[in-house]
Amino acid sequence: MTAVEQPTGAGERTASPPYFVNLWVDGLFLGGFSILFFVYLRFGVVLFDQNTGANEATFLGQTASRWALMAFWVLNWPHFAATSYRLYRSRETTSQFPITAWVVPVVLGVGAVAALSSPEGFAPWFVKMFFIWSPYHFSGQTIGLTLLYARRAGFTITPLLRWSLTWFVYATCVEIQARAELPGTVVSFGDVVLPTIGIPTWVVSVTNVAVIGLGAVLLFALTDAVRQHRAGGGAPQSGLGFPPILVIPALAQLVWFKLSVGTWDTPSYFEFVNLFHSVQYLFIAWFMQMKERQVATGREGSGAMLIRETAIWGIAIFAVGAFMFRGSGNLIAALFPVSVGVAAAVMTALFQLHHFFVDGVIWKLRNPRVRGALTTSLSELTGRTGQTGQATGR
Amino acid sequence: MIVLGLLATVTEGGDGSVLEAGTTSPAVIGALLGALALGVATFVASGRLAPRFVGAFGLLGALAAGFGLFAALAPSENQWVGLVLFLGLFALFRLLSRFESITG
Repeated sequence: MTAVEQPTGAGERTASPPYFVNLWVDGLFLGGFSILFFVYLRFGVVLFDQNTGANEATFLGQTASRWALMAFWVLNWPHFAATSYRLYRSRETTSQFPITAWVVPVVLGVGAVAALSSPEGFAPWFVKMFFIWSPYHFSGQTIGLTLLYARRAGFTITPLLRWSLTWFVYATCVEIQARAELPGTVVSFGDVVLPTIGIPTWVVSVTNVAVIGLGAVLLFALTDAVRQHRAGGGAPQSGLGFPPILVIPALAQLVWFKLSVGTWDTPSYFEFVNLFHSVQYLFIAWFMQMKERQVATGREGSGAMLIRETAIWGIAIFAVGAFMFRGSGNLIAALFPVSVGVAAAVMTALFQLHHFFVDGVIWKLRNPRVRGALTTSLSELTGRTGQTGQATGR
Repeated sequence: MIVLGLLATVTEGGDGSVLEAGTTSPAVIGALLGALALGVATFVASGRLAPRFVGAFGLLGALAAGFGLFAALAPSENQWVGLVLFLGLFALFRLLSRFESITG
């Protein structure tokens, strides 16, 4: 989810509850889990070292290898499938975005065929595109979630706050990617060795300073927004003067892309970042899916309905995700003279690149239907409030 | 697709060796063909499509061209060129965030 980027106009208020569930649950899914995991690893590493003498990388490597792959099946891959499902579930949705639905897959598909035909001459750059785009995509989601919660809480995002949030988040992304593009860096994905762009080493230092500076501007902008909110007669959002959840996505991003770097085995930790991103996504997508199903079926909200719809949706996105990222690579390797490592890398790049396009169009808050569904809550979905059908934009 | 595959095979050479950056690699040729096709498609369809669809085709063409530059220049021995390429890719991603967007 990258594109819930929409200005929250001054004085704009919503009648929706500020959280999908509550501060604690929403906060955990939006980044709290990843921050707690970061803290756990800090202390976990120390305990592990004391007991066994193993180094940090060994600890994290073991943890990652044990959990990450399994979690990819149930979190990461389904989150891609959930995106595709949102687009392709009906003719109505595909007709809204026909280029994204039909033309982009053809263009990317041609690229994938070329990559499979030329594992050394085309595939490295094709796969590398998704490698560079991916952290940018994560950043878009961080910004989008922050703006979504500001809208739900009726907290005005001032132009300075929006600007500083955007540039701070993207600066963390540029910094971590800059580290990967230094001359001599070697990164492989599957059987594909990826090209490194080759940028001056000082770029990392500059982006590091930029992150710190923009972080300071962001804090100032937040303080200023709170002052303006109070001056405009806005209700106090918390003891802090703003909804605390607003800082969680950006804080999580800071942990993912900056605080974890150099602390331990970064590549292993970054595997988890993919999962944390998916956790964020699936949390929001689940509410969206349930709300839309509720409206489509015309049923009253209930726990039974949620369980049934969750089971159907969950099985579907699990199965499709497994095919996209495991089955398709094996199938292509079985049918054509290409290794599983190359086929899986190319197919992963294909589906990820398409995901970036799809996510860029289906979550726009300026779309009233999206905006309506994203104001739901667990209370509403379980029938404990009377808002059913009010906010769908239909 | 078949043409692209053949081109990839021919330009890669019979031994499948990787070509040096800056030469006419399969990735560059593929990207140029893609940009060309998208440019023509944009022109042909421009009178019949809504502006947001025309813009989307234009962005796809820009992506194909950007990919071609990326393939032609990376890895770059000139780090300044690498820096421009690096920042240019992020600018392209930023532009693509407006892909086929709807308002209202």
